Amino acid sequence: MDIFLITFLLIGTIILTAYLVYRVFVKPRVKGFLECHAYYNMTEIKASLKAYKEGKIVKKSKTPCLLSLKPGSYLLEVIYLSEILERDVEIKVGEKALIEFKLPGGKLECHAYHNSKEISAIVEIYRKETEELVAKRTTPFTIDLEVGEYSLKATYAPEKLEAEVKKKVV
Amino acid sequence: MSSLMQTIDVEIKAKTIARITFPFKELRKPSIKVILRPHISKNVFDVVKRSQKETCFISPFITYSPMKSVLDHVKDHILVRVIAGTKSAYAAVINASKDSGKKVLVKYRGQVHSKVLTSDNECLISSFNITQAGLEKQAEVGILTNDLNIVSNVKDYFNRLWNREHEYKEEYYGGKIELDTPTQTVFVSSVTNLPYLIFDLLKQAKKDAIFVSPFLDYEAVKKITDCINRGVQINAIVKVDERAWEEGRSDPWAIDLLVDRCKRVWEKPDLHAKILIVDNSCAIISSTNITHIGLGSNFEAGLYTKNPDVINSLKTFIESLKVKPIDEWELERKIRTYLKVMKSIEVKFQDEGDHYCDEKELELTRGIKAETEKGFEYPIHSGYDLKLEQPPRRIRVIRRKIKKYKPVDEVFRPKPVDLVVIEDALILGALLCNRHCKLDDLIRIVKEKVSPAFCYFPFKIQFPIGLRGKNWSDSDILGACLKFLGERGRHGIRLIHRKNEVHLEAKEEYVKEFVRRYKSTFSTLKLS
Repeated sequence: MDIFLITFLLIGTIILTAYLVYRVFVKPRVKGFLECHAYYNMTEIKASLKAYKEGKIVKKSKTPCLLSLKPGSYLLEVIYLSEILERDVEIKVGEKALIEFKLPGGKLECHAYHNSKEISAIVEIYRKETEELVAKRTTPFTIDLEVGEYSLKATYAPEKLEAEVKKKVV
Repeated sequence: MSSLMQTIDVEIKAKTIARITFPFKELRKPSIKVILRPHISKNVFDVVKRSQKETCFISPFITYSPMKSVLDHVKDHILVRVIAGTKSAYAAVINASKDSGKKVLVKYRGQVHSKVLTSDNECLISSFNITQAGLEKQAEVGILTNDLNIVSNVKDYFNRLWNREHEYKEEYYGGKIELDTPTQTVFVSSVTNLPYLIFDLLKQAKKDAIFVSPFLDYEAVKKITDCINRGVQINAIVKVDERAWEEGRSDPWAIDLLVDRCKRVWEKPDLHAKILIVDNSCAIISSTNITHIGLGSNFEAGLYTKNPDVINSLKTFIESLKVKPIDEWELERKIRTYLKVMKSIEVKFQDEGDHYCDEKELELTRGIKAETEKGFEYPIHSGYDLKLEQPPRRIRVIRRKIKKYKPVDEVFRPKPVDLVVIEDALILGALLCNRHCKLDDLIRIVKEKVSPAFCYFPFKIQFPIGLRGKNWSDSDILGACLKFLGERGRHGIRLIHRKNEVHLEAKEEYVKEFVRRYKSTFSTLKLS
C-alpha cells in the first residue's frame, strides 16, 4: 500500500515539476511584454487600453499595466474620457516594450490625390525627434496622435496596392 | 514596379486636427505597343521628334534616303549616334548627315545585327533596318515602349557596342516564370539571353510553337526543332527567296526540313519579321534569324514578353501572314532551279561587313578605311559555344557575273493538274458511293475511272510528308491524300478518313457546285 502511495506521489511530483519548468522557463519565451502608462497633463491616469491585431481586439486593460502578448505588430488605443490616442507597437519575443501615452493629443487627417482623384497611398508616421515609427496607415485615414512634430512619408505604388487589395479580398 | 514617394512634416497640437494632403503628380504609365506596316516610318519619325537630348540607332543596313528623312525629323541641337553594321550603311549615314546638317556620330560594327532605336525615355526594338524596304515595304514588326527597365538596358547595350569600356550586364530569363516589370517585358540580347532563351522556351513548350523567320539555315533549324518535344505543334512562316539562297543568306534545305517537322509552313514573300511565340503565353520579338550566324555570332537584340496584349497583337499579325502554305511541289522545283543556277554563279568568301551589299553601295565605301580597319572588342557572345556546323561557304555573290539560265528541264515532272485530278477523283468517287465507302472501294473507283492521274501520283507526293522515301502502297497514298484533303477541304467539301472508311462531309449546295464545276473533267462519271 505504502509503495503504491509513494509511487503515486513521486509521479505526481515529477509531472508538477515539469509543468512548473514549462510555465516558468519555456512558455514565457514565446511571448513578449508590453508595459503601458498613460498621463494626462503630466499626471499618471487610469485609462482604458485596447490592443488590436489585424483589426480585432486581442487584449483589454487599464493603464498602468504589464501585458504579455504574442510577437507581432499591434495597434494600441488609449481612451480617457473623450480623449483618444493611437499608435503601433512591435512586440518581440522575450522583450518588453515600454509605451507612454501623453494626453491630450491631436488628430491627423490624411488624404492623397493623383490627377484630382483620391487614391490609396501608404503613409508612415515617424516621430521627428527620435525617427521612431509611430504608425503606418493607408489613406484616407484619421489618427489620434500625441502632441509633437512628426514626419509623414507617403508612398504611392498603384500596382502594388492593387495586388495587396486583391490578396485581402481573396 | 513604379512608385512615387513624398515626405511632409507636421506638428500635432492638443485638441486640434491637422489635415494633410499628398498631391501626387501624374505618373508616367509604362506602355508597350506593337508597330506594324504601314505605321513603321511614322513611329520612327515620332520617336526621333520627341527626343530632347540624344537619339541612338543600331541598324546593320542603312540607305541614304531613309536615313536623310529620319535626320530631317531630328531637332537641330540633338546628338544622333548610329551603329552601322555594314560599310555601305556607314557611308550612307555619313552622306545623309552631311546633307542634313545634323550632328551625327557613326561607328561601324560588322557583327551587329540588332535593330534598335532609342531616345531619351523610349525605345523601338524591331526587325526593320533604316532602308526603304524596312520602313515601308516589308512585313516587319517593332515594339515601342517607354518602360524604363527596357530603355535603360537598351541604352547600356548600345553604349557597350559603342564603346568597349562601357559595362553591360544582362540577367538570364530562361527559368523565370513571371517577368516582374510593369509591361511584363524585358530586353534580351546575344550578350546573355539569345539564343539560349529560345532553346529553353522551346524545350518548355507544351502545346504549340510558332516561328517567323525570313532567313534560315539547315543546322540552325535542326538545332531549334530538336529542342521541341514530340506532340508540340510547330507552325512556321518563312520566306522562300531564291536570291537569298544564292547569296548564302538562307538555305532551301532548312525550309525543306521545316516542312518535314512542322504541322504547317507558310511562305510570305516580303517577310522580314522575326518572332517566336510559345504556347501563346510568351514571345520573343527580335532581330534573330534562325541561321548559324544569327544564333552564334551576330549581336542580336529583342524583347522577351509575357504581356498578353502584345502576344495577342503578334498573333493577329502572324495570322495575317498565313496567306500561302508552302507548296512542296513548287519548293522542289525552286530547289532544282537553284541547284542549276548555283553552277553559274561565281562566289567568294565574304568579309565582315560586306553583308551582300549592292555593287553601287560598295562604291561609297572606298573612302572608309580608318573606321573599318580598327578592331573592336565585342562582348562575349552567349552563343559562342553553340556547335553549329556552318554552311559550306559564307559567300558573296558577284551578281554581274550571273548568267541568265534556262528553266530546268520539265520532261519528267508531273503536271500540277494531275494532282488536282486525283483530288477531284477522290471526292467524286466518294460522291458516287453515296458519300460513305470503304477505302478499298474508293481506290478501285479511282483506279478504274481516272487511272492515268493515279499512276502519276506516286511519282511526287506533294503533301503526305510522312510517306516520302517509303515504298508505299496505293492504300497508304490514298489514305495520306485523304488526310490532306480532309485538312484542307475543297470548295467546302471535306473527305474524312476514319480507320478504313471514307466519309464525305459537305453542304448540299457545295456538292452541287462541285459537281457542276467538274462535270466536264469527269465526263465518264455519272452522278446519281
